[in-house]
Amino acid sequence: MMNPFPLLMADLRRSFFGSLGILVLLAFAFSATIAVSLFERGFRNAGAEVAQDTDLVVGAPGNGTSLVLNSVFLLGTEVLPLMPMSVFDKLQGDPRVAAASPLVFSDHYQDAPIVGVGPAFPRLKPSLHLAAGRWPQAPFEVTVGSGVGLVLGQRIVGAHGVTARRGVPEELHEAHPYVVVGVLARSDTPWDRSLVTPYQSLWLLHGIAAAPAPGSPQIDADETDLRAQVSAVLVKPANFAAAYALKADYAKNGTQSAFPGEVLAQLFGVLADVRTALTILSTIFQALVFAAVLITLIASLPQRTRWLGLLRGLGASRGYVFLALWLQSALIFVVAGLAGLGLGWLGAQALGTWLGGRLAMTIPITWEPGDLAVVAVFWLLGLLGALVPAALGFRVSARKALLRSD
Amino acid sequence: MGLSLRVSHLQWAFDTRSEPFLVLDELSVAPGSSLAISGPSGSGKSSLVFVLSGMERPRSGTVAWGGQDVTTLGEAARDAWRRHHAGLLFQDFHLVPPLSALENVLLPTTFDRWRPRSEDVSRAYELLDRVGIRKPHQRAGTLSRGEMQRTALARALLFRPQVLFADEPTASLDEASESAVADLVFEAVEHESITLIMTTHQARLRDRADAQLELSHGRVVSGGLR
Repeated sequence: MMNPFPLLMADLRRSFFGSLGILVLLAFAFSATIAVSLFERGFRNAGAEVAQDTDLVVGAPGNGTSLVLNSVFLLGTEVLPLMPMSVFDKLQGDPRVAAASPLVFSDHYQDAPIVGVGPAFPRLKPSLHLAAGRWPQAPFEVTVGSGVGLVLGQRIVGAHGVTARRGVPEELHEAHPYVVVGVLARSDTPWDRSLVTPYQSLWLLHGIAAAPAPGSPQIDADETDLRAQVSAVLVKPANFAAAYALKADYAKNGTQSAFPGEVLAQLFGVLADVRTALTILSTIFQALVFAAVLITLIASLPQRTRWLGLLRGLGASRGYVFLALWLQSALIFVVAGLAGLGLGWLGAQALGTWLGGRLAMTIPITWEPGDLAVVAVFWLLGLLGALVPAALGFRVSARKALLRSD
Repeated sequence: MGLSLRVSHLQWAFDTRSEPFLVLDELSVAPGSSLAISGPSGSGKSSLVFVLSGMERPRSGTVAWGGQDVTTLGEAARDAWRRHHAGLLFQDFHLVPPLSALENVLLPTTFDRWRPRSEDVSRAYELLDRVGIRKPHQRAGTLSRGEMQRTALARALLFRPQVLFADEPTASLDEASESAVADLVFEAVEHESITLIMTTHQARLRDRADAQLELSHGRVVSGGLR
């Protein structure tokens, strides 16, 4: 069995920097496709994971996407318009509702929102588990996400505003500190970087209800006045039919309703379009790089012509020459494919870490069999492309090659 | 034992449309003897070597080595014939610079083997020692020109060829190296009874051959067995 590897490795050593340049160019071109694919899938999975607990969100009329992004992803991109507490009361009393919890956004602690919730909140978020302590029961008790960095018993002071604003002095609620009564286990959702407190805490801080008497364990919603308002209501419908009926009923008369999954599907549709556009762009880029690499490999043939002549002179068959040339180019494509996979994965990880950090959720970057199909196509095209310089070198005349003066 | 050569009515052209460039009616070389082909640049010396070694196919005529007419063989068979029966030495050495001297000598073993046989490796070491290469693992690109040609000679002798083709083997060397390489070539062909076909324009080398053939414009001007 012939073995052209010593020769082709020698040629690769001779043209090390040129070959490395070609390899890096190919790897980067290929990594763009991989990175886009891995990241888009990771982001989609992470979004679906976050939204899976929430069946229906009801809020004041406005932008439905904003309602979902703020109440499910806790993005705090804008202040949600408020709606009367009576909406929550009505939902709570509705036989079609299994559980409901108001959400009140008005304060934050460092970069984390302080979210006012009702007693049913833990039932609405079964994926959130306590790592220590308990859920808050009284105003100014707070249960914190694993990423907030607080421990049981710690006292903190909230600041006014849904999020911290750079350059704007914090308006602290120093008169009413919170005490940490629970810490959530890591859930890889935005709730990891949030603080959960009874909604009455936020009402009291903003003068919506009277402050509780010292020692009072809990504030009843009935104690609130008519100005009491909430940002949104999370709803767990009793059944499938109830979900659609509730969505229809609360899409009018001063409220709007949204299925987070539906809104996410629309967002992912846009994301998929972006992915398609990026994939087309990266494919065009790859094709251009591919063509440039092939031209370079063909253009470098004259430098190897003397070797080819030598091989033919020493009695190597044309098959050996063909194999040596093909393997050399093919090796570059194979290694570039592997390097592209690695670089693509790193790129997707970097994007996932960056965006995940901003959204306070983990974007998992994982491989699927389809990714191997992408690299298989890249390799196949590379191995086929490598046939071109091999076929040209195969035809070199030994006499002409050996008589070259350079 | 070297092979005999008998050439008759040989005509070779650069391509199918042009007139024959090389015309040689008769040529005989005895087994184990040496033939020096000389002539000015462009006289057809190298072309004759390419034809005699089977790298080029003549338009007509026969080139019989030990009774086998290589012109009747297909390209793959001529490649195999050259691999098994011939050694080649070039003016420009044609070593692979990133490979070591030893790897260069063993290069022909890669044409039909994954790993060289142990006897090939032993032979390579022995030949390198015989031609005076003391650092067989030194990269060929760092050798002196004389060392390069001596390494190329070791490579040509690896498979105990019956014919050695040497195309201007000393033309690129300084006087000291030229003499040393010439001595090694003649020692080798005598030691292993190889038939030597050599082109040269150097009188000292030409005169050491058993026979001389002088070409001009592809035609024999003078020549014959001494």
